[in-house]
Amino acid sequence: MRFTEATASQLATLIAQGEVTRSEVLESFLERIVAVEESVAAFLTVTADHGRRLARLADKAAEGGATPTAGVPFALKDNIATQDIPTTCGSRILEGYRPPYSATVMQRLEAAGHILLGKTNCDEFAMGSSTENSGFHPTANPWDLRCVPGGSSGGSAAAVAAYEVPFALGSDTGGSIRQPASFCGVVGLKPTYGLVSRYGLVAFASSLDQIGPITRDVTDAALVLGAIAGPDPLDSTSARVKPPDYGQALVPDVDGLVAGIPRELFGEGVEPEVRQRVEEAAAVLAELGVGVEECSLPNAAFALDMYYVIAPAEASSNLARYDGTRYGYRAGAAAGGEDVGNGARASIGGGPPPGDLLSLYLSTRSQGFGPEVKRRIMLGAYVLSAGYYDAYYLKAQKARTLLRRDFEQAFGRYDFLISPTSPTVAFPIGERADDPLAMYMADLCTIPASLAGLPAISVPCGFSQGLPVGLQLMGPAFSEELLLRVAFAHEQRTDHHTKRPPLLGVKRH
Amino acid sequence: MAIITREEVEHVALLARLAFSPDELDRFTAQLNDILGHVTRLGGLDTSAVEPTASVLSGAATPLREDEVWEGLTREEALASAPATEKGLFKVPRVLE
Repeated sequence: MRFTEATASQLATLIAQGEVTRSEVLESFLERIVAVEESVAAFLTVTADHGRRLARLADKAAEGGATPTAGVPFALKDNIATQDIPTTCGSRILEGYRPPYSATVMQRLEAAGHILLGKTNCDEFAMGSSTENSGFHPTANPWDLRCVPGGSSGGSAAAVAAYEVPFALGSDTGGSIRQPASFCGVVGLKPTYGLVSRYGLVAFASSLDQIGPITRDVTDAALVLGAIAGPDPLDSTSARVKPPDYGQALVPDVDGLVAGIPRELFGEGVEPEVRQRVEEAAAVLAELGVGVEECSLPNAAFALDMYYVIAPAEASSNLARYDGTRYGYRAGAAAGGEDVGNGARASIGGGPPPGDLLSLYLSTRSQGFGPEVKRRIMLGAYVLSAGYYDAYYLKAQKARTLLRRDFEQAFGRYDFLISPTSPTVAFPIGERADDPLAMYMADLCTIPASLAGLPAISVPCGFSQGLPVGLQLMGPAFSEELLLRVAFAHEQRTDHHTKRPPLLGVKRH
Repeated sequence: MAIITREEVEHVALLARLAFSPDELDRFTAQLNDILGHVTRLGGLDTSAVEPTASVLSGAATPLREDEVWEGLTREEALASAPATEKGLFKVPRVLE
């Protein structure tokens, strides 16, 4: 267990210096997973055999004098495609699905020598803020097992917080990297839209989705971002921007920068203790020479409304592909005596196979999708339907332009913006499960940067009632270096990121 | 007043290829009304002078690449995850009589 508390960059150094083998590191994390997974339930698949094989091969190659590779274990949110390894998006409709190819981010991490240790739990198709919408099981927050880890990348955040893996990737559509990172007391970075390839990321809302790192400190966020960022000919939304060396950004020098605190993200919904922690973080930055002022993003007050039109509209279109034909669950497939693909799909419905195509679609989708996914498909189909398109979808897209202008104006004066990552700390499992609107409020502060396609990072900034509070830093497009520098400077002056979760609370299962 | 009626929910469900029980229809109608009631606040924004944002990226940032031929999935790989196949094709219920 001794290596599990080292960060990814520390492990990479230890491995490169020959202090420890990749296999030893991997076994430490596998032991840790066995020890805590019963309580945390962060994983949907643990790829122990796959990891052991790669670690052994890499160790052998290094012994033979080959150029050493990193060898740091990692986890991927289960909506990121991994060849021949189950990729479910937390949905029963993809139970047992093994993609025929790997996502670009997976290929890049493996090319750097990092070793996949498992796929993490998430809200079904990344739709949710608590990971309770997983079609398989909820995940617990390592800081209090009675609480949610946030979502939708809750499994990735919980796994990193519980030392089950040194780093993980998540995906962020409206806050799904930053909000769980905040709830679990770890670092979560949503890159600029277009910086990281989405080839192999299962699509939710294509004008918003981004992949990014979840790590235990800012140094690791820079390390992992550097490994996955950059143009990809397989993703038409991948920007032709050559990423800098993010490691160079890790200097604690922020003197002379100017930061704005948008009052729309710091209003009544923000819990008093969360507000206090964020104010303390702003004070730390001020001591380091940052000028901090209140500012305004007037249209951010409407961001949640824009998001719950645009994201469901795109989702309803993207999720049309789950029709029981090419992959995934098909209603009645097992009972039909047909040539069933991989055998895992009989677990939902049963009954005779539908006799016509429409019935097949209706049963497959109704049995395969969970309630939140259906809710969003319905919302999206409605706002796109004849007669309502202009009033909802077009209106929201125009409002989105207003919000982007607000950010442009703010960045004319400020280098970066500060807010809480989420208005509250982690809430109890079940508390908001039956109230979609209350659940959506958890993303109030993260959605604006998503709609504007801007980079934002969440870093730990203290605790409220024993639960972590996250500080969000937002910057102009492709300003990841600046955000990492500010986050690093803050981290150097505080010790929040070194606190260990107690894994207390009731034992689950 | 309801923004979306139970009948409209039923209609949209068919468009989205989803089927609901009567209980689910009631619940979804109520929840969709809650959510739509919130988002209608957008109507208060003056958007008369702005273009819609479909993507935050400019075309200059994401130029089209050369159209090169390379290997894709084989037929076997493409069919490997299908619930039902026949003669190297995806199999669905009869569409034409």
